[in-house]
Amino acid sequence: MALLDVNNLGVRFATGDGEVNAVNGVSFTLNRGETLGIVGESGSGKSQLAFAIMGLLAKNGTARGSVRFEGREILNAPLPVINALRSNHIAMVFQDPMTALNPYMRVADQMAEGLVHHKGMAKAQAVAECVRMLDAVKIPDAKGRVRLYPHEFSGGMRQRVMIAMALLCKPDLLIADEPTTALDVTVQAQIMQLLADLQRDFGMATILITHDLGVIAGFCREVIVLYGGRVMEQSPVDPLFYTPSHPYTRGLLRSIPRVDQQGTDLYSIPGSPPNMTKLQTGCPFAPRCDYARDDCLDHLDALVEFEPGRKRACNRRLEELA
Amino acid sequence: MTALLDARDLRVTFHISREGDMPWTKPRALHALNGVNFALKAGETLGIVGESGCGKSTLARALIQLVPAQGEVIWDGKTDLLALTAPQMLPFRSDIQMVFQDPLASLNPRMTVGQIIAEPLRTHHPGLGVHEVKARVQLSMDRVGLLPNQINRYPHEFSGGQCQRIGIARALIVEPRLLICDEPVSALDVSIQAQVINLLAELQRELGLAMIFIAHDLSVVKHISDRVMVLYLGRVMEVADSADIFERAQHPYTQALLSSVPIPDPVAERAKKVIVLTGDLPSPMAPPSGCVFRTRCRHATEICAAEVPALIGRGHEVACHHAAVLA
Repeated sequence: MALLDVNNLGVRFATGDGEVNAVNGVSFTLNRGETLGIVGESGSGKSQLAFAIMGLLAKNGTARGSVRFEGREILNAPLPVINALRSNHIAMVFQDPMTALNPYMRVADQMAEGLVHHKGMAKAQAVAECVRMLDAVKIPDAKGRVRLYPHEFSGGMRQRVMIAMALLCKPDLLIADEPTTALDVTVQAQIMQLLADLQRDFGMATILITHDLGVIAGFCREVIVLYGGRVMEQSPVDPLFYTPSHPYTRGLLRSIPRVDQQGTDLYSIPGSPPNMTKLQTGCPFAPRCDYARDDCLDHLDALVEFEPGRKRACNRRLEELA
Repeated sequence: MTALLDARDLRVTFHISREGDMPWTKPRALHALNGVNFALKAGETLGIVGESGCGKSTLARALIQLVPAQGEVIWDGKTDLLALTAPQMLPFRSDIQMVFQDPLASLNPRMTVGQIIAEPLRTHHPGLGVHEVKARVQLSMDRVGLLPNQINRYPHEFSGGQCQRIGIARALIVEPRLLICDEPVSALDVSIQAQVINLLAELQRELGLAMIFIAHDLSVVKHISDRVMVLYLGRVMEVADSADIFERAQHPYTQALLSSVPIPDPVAERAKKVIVLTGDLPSPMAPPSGCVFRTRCRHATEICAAEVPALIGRGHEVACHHAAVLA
């Protein structure tokens, strides 16, 4: 049985400007120890996807479809069911550690909460466990630092505190939403190394949400490319990078400058990302796509498997994208 | 040929009082920039890289007196910009313009695009007539790819990439000779980044602008720069031609920095050896003695703690006691 089985997940928000379909028809399965990358630009729906799985959508948001964790439906499940899973079985690392950590609580107190709640540990024992985990994420002088407040840590250390906190209950699944975006590259390298080590040691499955294709390339086995709330392409990592099948993925890969190659003129995708409140019925990428025809503005073909393990959603056949 | 801009022994020191200090306690000195030297030729792009807190933004601000600095900034071989008073500095400000990091925050939300772009003209050429101003605004908008019918709109109606174009149009309207870009693309989406990078590169070719390009994304810096300067804790670690620094980095810090950049190529990325730096950036209030990088350097020896390494070399300059061995 798959650890996480997401089927046709959709997220919709009721806003003052009308309905917004933030995520449409996302399906994937994730087994123990696997890594899934979700790539997309701002507004593509990648964070809302994670929030929907964790039951963290804003009040005006509704989720449809199905999310099964070890066979049990958890989408829109009652709070006690979700609470039993959160941090204990599924943990999340948020993008901005300064807003995700409670500024009024000492690191020890907020870290220990989960252990006391889920594992029924005594506070002192839980704090000792926190110190051990802070050590594991390479925070120097963890024993002394555990008594500090979040603002007394640097950005990189705060991110490590969040990761340590997420890993405390040894979750089966870690959802990391842009865990390194706010950090410098050297710290990013430290954190990604740490995540890879911990994943190997604990056999944890990971969903990594990011806009950075470089991070995906090094860390993930399977990738979903989101644009305007729709899955454009879903594929194992190597073929996605070497033979991208969707015009958006191709454009994206050609538009990133690379440190390991001599610069020529960069390709740039014309136009700008869609306004989600004014999304048309067709392919969200159509207005920026070189291959778009009239039918692309009206409808977008469903995601189809065109090679074993690889799916794409595009009205143009692969041969047409010369 | 004399350099367009020649910074000599540039120093910026902030005085910071700690929480709980007595009113008579002397504030402590934070050396944000500690003796930075560089020269920029006309039409050249200098990339400045380094981690947060290394002083890259302070450097940009110090050059145009937005923060008080010591040292000399010789403009065009003649004038020391740091010795000028504010009114004396004014004519030089139209020669040096800046593009800021946060595209929306750097535009006044209550002004229309036309007013924003025209503002530098009103300061530097107050005698211009209404029609002349409008013609120049339109030219500037056209140059950065904004449509003429957008002139009466407000910044909030634009996306991040468009706002950055407005900021660039505003900087270009006074026909500067040097454009200082402080993280101009880091707030933008990947697909928009390429548009702005291409625009800057194209404008530079067309107008012969010199550019100081500050960014933490090394791939972007490599793409756009002729030369690259690496900063760490307010000191220059290495300066060299772009191709040179990316292929033959000599300073251990530059090497670690480069190895940390993720490559969007799964096979290359998995095979890559990352030099993981241990520990965190030391506090700039109490930087290490000698070489500031030594606390995180794999090659540090006794001499590194005792002596500050000088920036030496011709063309490819490195500040490291062990550079000769490591190259």
